Amino acid sequence: MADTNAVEILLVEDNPRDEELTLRALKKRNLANKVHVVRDGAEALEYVFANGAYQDRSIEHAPKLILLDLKLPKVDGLEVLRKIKSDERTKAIPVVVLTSSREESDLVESYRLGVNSYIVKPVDFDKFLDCVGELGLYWLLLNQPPS
Amino acid sequence: MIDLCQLTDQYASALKDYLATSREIALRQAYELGRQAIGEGLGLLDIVAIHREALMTVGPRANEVGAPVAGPGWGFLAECLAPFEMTLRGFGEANEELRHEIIERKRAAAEITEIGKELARRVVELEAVNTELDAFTYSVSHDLRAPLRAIDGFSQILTEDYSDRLDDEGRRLLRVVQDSARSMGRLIDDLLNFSRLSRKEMRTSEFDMGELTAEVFEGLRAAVPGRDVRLSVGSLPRAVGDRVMVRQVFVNLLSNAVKFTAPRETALIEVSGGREGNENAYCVKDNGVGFSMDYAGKLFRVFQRLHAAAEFEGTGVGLALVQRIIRRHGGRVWGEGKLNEGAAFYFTLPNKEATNG
Repeated sequence: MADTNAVEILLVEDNPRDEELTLRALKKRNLANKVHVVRDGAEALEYVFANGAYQDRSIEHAPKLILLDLKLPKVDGLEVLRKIKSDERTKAIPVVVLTSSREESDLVESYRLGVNSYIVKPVDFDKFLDCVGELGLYWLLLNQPPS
Repeated sequence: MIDLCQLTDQYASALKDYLATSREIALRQAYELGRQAIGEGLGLLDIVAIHREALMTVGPRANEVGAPVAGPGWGFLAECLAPFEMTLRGFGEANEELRHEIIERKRAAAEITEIGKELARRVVELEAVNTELDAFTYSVSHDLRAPLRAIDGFSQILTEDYSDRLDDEGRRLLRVVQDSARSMGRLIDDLLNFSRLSRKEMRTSEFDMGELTAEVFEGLRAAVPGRDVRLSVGSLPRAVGDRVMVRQVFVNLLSNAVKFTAPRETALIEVSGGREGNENAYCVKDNGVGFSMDYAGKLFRVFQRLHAAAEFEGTGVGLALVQRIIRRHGGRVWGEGKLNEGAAFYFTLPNKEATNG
């Protein structure tokens, strides 16, 4: 992905299998063109705040949606969420937690930190396709973000 | 009561007897005087002083003797002092006993402290195990589901992208892979619910069981739109317990009833209840396929199923969960059935009287 300013969906996912399945689900809804994938929490933060490996990016070009896994290497998903939602420049970016964790504590904490949606990845791929597809459609096409 | 002068006089006269002739009687008197002296709170030195004084009064011979103990009256003095010795020995023995007791108590106290420390260690250990269990549950939830999703997802991708190169058997085999992955997914979810339940704190309140039953049944009936399932609910005593957990009991019992009545044209499910002393008893009864009472003992075991998977789906966790919930409430649960005639599941919950008492 050459132009990281044109990204619409930032997918934060460390599992390459889940990444492939998610991308496939997005592709089915023609949403996979402007997806950028990062594989750990630290990289996600660098991307969002346009520093480190992403210092050439502009922070104003925020993705339209961040799909965030919770269990991530380096910086975990809840911490990424906390940083994004506690910064004025990034707090308006819709963040959807897309995780395998059904832990009540993760759910409660995510909402406390200001997550926009919390989705448990279904094992059933049909449901997974529906779920990711709907998510993409809703946040990219239906949702009206502040301009 | 005897005063010191009297005692001194008596001592002197007895000593005189002793020094003269009748020794046995005098010695007995000496002993008796010693006991009286102890009773009066006199000490050994007082007796020695009395002895000295008495020696001086009983004869000129006495003056010749310097040390009273070595003098002619020494046997008499010794006899008078004997009760003191006995008393001292008694004190000694009592002391010894006390010493033992103190040692014993100190040992016991040390032991209690040790047990306390051991308990504290166990608590720390248990907390660690619990934390570990939480971490384990977490990774089961996350790490086991991820590969399952891959198995299911990639099988599907294979089916979709390579359908022209797969024949019917190839597609069937992939379906088997997918079905297995999905059923394992359900199994993991059920197991997680089961283990989570034992760690969850109970929130006790009083609630309407009839309302709860109706609420649960509506949800279940919506899931089987094509079937004729009828529910009759008797008057159910209000329950005291964790409503969310008891709701799970009804979800599991009623969904079992719905599931096992599938072959019936009209499924009849009856929920009834009543008070029995300190307990409320509830019953969920159906006209489904039932079960043989030979297997009644296995009903509530985790992963225990009485029906083939092809016949009725399920993971074998539902009734185990019911039992765990009811037991946590201090109630009992049991099942009665007859093959091909239906099943009835009973559970009890301690009622208000029992909870208050």
